[in-house]
This record gives sequence, structure tokens and C-alpha cells, in this order.
Amino acid sequence: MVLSVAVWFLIPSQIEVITDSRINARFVPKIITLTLMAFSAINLVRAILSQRTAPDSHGSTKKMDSMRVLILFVTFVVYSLLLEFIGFEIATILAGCGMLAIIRIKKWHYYVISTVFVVLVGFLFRTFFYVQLP
Amino acid sequence: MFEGIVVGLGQMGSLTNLLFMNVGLLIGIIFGAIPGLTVLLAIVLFLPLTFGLSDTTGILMLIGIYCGGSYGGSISAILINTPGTPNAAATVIDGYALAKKGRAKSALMVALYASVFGGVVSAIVLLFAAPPIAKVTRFFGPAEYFTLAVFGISIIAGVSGKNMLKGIMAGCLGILISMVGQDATTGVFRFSFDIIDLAAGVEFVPVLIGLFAISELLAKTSDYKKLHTMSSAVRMDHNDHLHIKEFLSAWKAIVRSTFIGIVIGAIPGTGGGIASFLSYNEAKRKSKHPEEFGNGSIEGIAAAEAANNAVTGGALIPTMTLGVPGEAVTAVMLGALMMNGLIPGSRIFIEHRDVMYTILIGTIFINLFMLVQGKALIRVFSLITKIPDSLLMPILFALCVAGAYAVSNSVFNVFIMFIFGGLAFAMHYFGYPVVPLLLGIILGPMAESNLKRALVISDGSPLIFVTRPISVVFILLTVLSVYASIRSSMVKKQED
Repeated sequence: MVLSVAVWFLIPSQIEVITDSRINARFVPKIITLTLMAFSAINLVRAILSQRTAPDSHGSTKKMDSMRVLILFVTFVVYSLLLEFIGFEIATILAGCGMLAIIRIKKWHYYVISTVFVVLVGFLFRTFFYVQLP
Repeated sequence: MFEGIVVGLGQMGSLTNLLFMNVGLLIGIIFGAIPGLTVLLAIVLFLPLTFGLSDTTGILMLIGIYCGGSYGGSISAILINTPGTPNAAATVIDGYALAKKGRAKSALMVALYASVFGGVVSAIVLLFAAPPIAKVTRFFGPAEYFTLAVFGISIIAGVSGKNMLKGIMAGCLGILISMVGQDATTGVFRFSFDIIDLAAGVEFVPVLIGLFAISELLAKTSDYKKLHTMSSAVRMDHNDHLHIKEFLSAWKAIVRSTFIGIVIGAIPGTGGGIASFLSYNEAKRKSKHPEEFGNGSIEGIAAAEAANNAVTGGALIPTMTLGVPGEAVTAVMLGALMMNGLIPGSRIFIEHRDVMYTILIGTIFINLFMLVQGKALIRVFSLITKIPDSLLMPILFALCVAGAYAVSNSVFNVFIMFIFGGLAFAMHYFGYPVVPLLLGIILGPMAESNLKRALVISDGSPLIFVTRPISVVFILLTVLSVYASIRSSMVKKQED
């Protein structure tokens, strides 16, 4: 709902109109946003009605796992910011090992295999696919 | 058509094509065999690698992955009681039961032979059905293409699971995402926020990798305790041999299931899972020994496997001719076809005759190669199922990043991939299906441009969509498709 309202208000600033015709660049985005808005409203009403009859299904047991997911997602974002500066191999080895640490893997050989694989992928892409990885 | 088949046969036989068909097949079988890795993931990850290949070789490699994955799912279903893909869910019932009796090798061989039969027959049907269906699209104008796109989008109802409303919302979001960048008809920039990297729109491959691979990494992390446990595989007795009479006793079930698979596959919004369960039930109903079903029936394994592999050829018929993908895998295949300039429609078998016939003939041979690979590598495949998920995570991550970056040598694409990964994970968490979002992204541009063109032709009158016969047919099909989905969802709710 919030997203559709935000998109609706963004349309005038994000889509310029250069013709007098009603069927311009804003025509379909407006229809889709209105559809999204309408269905969001219906969904919201349904959710409110069902919440009155059923208790909240998102219990505290999921909190810890969500925290781990959030840490991993933040790792991804930091990774994409660092990628250009420290290069594919170092950044990906760090992220891969970080990922194993986040899921609490204690087997050292997993870290070694993951590191070797990253170097292998870098070599394959540069040598055989001519992709200049950062 | 005959000329096309001859040319296709000649081109398909090139060393490069044969090599990459087999590489694709091997990748597909490996991804299908490892629970947690999917055919879709394999196609998404290896799509960027096909950019360095010719259009024919690239598509053949992807079809190899698709067909190999359909068979690969049965390996883990039989050996570790876990279907590698949802399509192999019905194979578990008798496959694992037979494996527990010490006949794992026989179960794998039945699955392989039945998969090859189903795959080859469906590929032959695809070869002869696709060109005439594509010809019909020559009568299509903007109104027909718009209603066809709406029909394609209506599949959202079928793939939305229990909550159709959320599916529609995800589809709308997908259409809005497809609008980022320059508008094809007016040239105006939309939702680009003055970011140069967004001027040409959001790249398809990073979006795909994000939606299906990165979200999977996040999902595995959310349930990380499961990563520390592994089910034990059934031991394979290499003295166990499948007798030809045993296999032939299931021929009726195999033939019946193959045709069920082709028909189900050609219907958008269905898939291998439905086809294999339907065929399994049908085989049980018609069997002389229904009591064996559930206890390691050869007929049961054969029916499920013939059906889920027959789905591949059937599902490619609407994808290649009408541009209507029935499910996520064929949606990605459609994207791959379009990226290679192979736009489905009446001109595809005229303008790209050689390429298309090579692909269609190649699909038949891919299924035949599956027999060779399956038999030769059966021992290796049994080891693949033992690779732990936790080790796969960093490996997948490296492949995802390299793949997303390779599309246009841009770190921005890696960032986009993570954003869409986060979005897909959040959608899963809140019960929103992801496939409708993908359908919106793929079919959105087709729907929008043809809607505008049709309305310009009719001076803004929407009556153009109900006065043209083919349009009316698509509108009726859309209504039927939505009605069938609502009905089946209501039946499911009642059963729950």
C-alpha cells in the first residue's frame, strides 16, 4: 500500500509528458499503480479482519534467524561497495568465509574449499570467458 | 519444414553444439540431484555464460540444463528420500521404497529410461507442433498481442499458491519494475532517478539471479540449523540389475504418462509436479498390481518420471511460439530467447529458421544424450547427493556475483542482484509469490506497448479488444484460466 502510494506520487516527477495524447508514458504506470493500490487495500482489510480471529503467526522464535539474515544482507551490501576497491577474489573470499561463520560452520576445510573455489571462478571468468572481474 | 529439419540436423551436429548440449545436461543433472539447488537456479546462474556462445549453442545448453534437471531430481528422490526438484516428488514414493529393498540401481535405471522416453517423445511433438502454431500468430495485431500478454499474465493466478491477491500485487510490482528506463514508444525516461545505470532499465540477468539464487542463500541462512544435518543416502548395490522384462511391464504407464506430461506441460501455470502426480495416480488406477504402489513399484517410478520429463517439450511449445511461459523455468528460457533476438511469433520460424530447427532437433538429441550420461555417471551422481548445503552456499555466492557482473561488467548489477535477492526473501517471508513478479517483468513491456498501439489504432476505444475474434479467444482463455485457478484454490482451502 505504502509502495503504491509512493509510486503514485513519484509518477509526476519521474515521468515527463511530452505529448497531448491521453495515451502517454504515464498512462500504463498509472493504471498499474491504481491496480496495486486497490489490491493492497483489499489485502489490508482482509489482514485486519483475519487478525481479529487468528493470533499473530510471527512469533519470537523467528527473531534470531531474521537477525542472521539481516547480518548476511548487510554483508552483501558492504561487499558490493567494497568489490571495486579490493577486487573480486579478496572481497568474495571474505564474504564467503563470513557467510560460513554466520551459519556457524566450524569445519576448517569448508573455508579452504570455498577460498579455492573463488580463486578458480576468478581464473575461469578471466581466462575463458574474457570477463574483467574487478 | 523438411528443409528446416535437414539444416537443423546438420548444424546441431557441430562439435561446439554437441559439447555444450552435454555440458548443460551434466549441469542440469547435478543441480537437479542436489536438494536445495534447482533447475531454475542452474539456468539463472549459467545464463550469463551463454553470452559468450552463439545463440543456438547458448539456448541448447540451457535446454540441456532444463532436461537434465528434470531427470536429476529423481536421483536424490531415490537415494536419499528427498526430491531434488518438486517435479520428482512423486518419484520418492516408489523410488525410495525400491532403493530400501537394495534395488537403488534398478530404481535409478527405471527413472532414467522413462525420463529419456518421455523427453524424446515430447521433443518430437515440440518439433512438429511448434512451427504450425507459430504460423497462426501471423494474424496477430496489437490487440491480439495485448490480450495474449494479459493471458500470459493471468497465469499469475495459477502460480500464486494460496493467495491470489498477493500474486496479483507481485505481478503489478513486476510490471512497474519493467517500466524502469526509457519508454519504448515515447522515448521518455521513467523511474530512473537520474541514475545513468538505470537509463536502459533493470538488467534481466542480475534480477533473476537475485530473485532466485540470492534469496535462496538468505532463506538457507534463516533456517541455518537445518544446514548442519544431513540425511543418509541408501547404499547402492552394483550387482543389482534391472531386467528388461521388468521395465517393459510398465510400457503402458510410460506411454500414457508421456502424453499426460506433454498436455499438462503445454498448459501455462501447471508444471512437472502436477503432471507426475496425475500420471502416478492414473498408473496406479490402471495397474494390474496397484498394491505394489508405495512399496517400490517399477510402474510408479516410470509413470512419474516419464511425465515430468515429457513436460519439458510440452512447456516449450507455448513459450517458443506464443511467448507465453507456463512457469518460472520457461519464463527464464523465454527471456534467454528474447536476449538472443529470437522473439516468439509468426516470424520466428521464417527469420530464424536454421536456429530454431537446430534448437528443436537438438532438444531430441539432448534427451538421447541423457541416456548415455545417465548410464555412464550413475555412480558419480550417487556421490553428488552427499554434498552438504552449507558448503554450497559460498560456492553459489561466488558464481552469482561473477554471473551478475559479467552481463555488462558493472558492479551496479551486483548491487541490483542483492536488492532483488532481499526483495524476494522479504516477499517469501510475507507470503508473496515471486514467480508473478518475474512474469510481470517479462510480459509487462509486451502488454504495455501493444495496449498503447491498439488504443492509438482504435482512437482510444477499448472495444478493439472485443471485436477481433483472436482477441476474444484470448480474453475467454484468460477468464477460464482465472476461473480454474480460483476453483482449484477454493478446493485446496476446503481440503485444508
